[in-house]
Amino acid sequence: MASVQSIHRTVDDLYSDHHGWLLGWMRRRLGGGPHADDLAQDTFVRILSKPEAIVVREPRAFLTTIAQRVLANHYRRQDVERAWLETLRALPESSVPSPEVQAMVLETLLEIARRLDGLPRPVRRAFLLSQLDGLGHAAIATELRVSVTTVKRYIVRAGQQCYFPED
Amino acid sequence: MSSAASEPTTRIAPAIARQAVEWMVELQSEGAGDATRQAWERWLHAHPDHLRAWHRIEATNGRLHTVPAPLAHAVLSAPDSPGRRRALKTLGLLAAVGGAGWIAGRRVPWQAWTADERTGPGERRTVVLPDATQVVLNTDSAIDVRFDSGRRTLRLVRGEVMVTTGHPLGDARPFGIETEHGRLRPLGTRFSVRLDDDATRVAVYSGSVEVSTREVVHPRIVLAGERTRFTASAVSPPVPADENDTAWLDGMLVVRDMPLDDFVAELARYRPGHVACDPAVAGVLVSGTYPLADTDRVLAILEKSLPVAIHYRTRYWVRVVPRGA
Repeated sequence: MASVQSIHRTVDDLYSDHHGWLLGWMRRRLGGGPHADDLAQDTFVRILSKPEAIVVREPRAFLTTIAQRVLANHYRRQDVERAWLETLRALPESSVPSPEVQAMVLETLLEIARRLDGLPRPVRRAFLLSQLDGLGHAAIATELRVSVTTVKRYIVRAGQQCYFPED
Repeated sequence: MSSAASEPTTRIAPAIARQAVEWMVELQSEGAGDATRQAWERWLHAHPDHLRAWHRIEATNGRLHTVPAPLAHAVLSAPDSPGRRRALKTLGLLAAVGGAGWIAGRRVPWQAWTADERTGPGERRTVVLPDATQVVLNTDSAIDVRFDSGRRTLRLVRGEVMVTTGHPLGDARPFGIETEHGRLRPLGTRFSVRLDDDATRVAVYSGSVEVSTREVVHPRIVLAGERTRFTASAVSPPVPADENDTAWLDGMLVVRDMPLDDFVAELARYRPGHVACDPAVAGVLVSGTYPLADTDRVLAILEKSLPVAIHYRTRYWVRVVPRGA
């Protein structure tokens, strides 16, 4: 593996050569808004934290790959936050949890959402029905209109990704 | 025997991760019986990484359960899906009937369960918890059981229990046993816990139990066939478990070469009032099988078989002294 210094130099070069371009790419994707700067920055931070991923032969293709992941992350976060706010609004005032609890619950939700990301909806739903609601495989099979064997396969697939995330 | 003092945070091989999840699904299957559980236990203890993988699943499920299920569905379902709308409706309903506080994970009405169980001197009782875990309380014992949205906790307040875990996976909330000295985490097992004044004793008869003391960070694993004792700050090295220690389940006290003062202290647990041993005979060794239901008879047997006499000041104030004293 390359030394820390040489990695920093590589990222420095990437940054000075392509930061402007990446910022433009982000702005186009987001259609304006306040987040493009932060997300372009996040992209470089992510590269710094994963030095083994550096391949500079195609710097812009490489940057785009990472930036797409950063962007997906951003959308997912927005999505979860929006749903969470919607949920809070649906609660009577007396049931709204304290800000600390809100933060903790949101953190857990974001983490689970991150881990379940990319899974087809029925797979994710089978997993949640089983592990969250404690529904039996037969009940889930009926709900999703698939076989029990398929339900099991779904849960194994989601479980591997949720319990053993790759990073 | 080996005991894991710490677990490195290295990556778990994908093949093992997959096996762990498959076992979880198998155990949650409608048809899972004792044979499945036994096969799972064999797998679990076949390699330290299996145990680590399993812990990983338990930890994530524990965290998952700090969020009420309808809330998680509402947020994790795709936006504007029927699933989300239904979940939001459930949430509104729950909030309306459940009152404040449910969302903090402290009181989720459909999952919470609490109970306090007590036995008096000489009593013995079996309690079955909602997850099918069986707890036998020995004489003069007390437990507080609390199942909430995040965990299942049994607190041993006094005395001794034998625990046979039920179906930990039909119920993904982590199960733990607490004493004033620390916390035990069973992994599909049968084990006993006894609370003394200065330490907690644990003996494992099947599976394994993880011991975390109140003040030490690294847990220790106690395997089947081992026993140990721990204080708030230290765990003693495990030694072989003694099947005689479980004789109380059958209402017997079985000892081999036990000093008389220890024997008398043991007997005293099973009868109301005070039983003391004169220091002059404290070291006399006792062996044999004694019925716990009739401690007066046990005292009478001692008088016949050992050079001791029993002084009854009242039925509740007894002293074992040298014969002829």
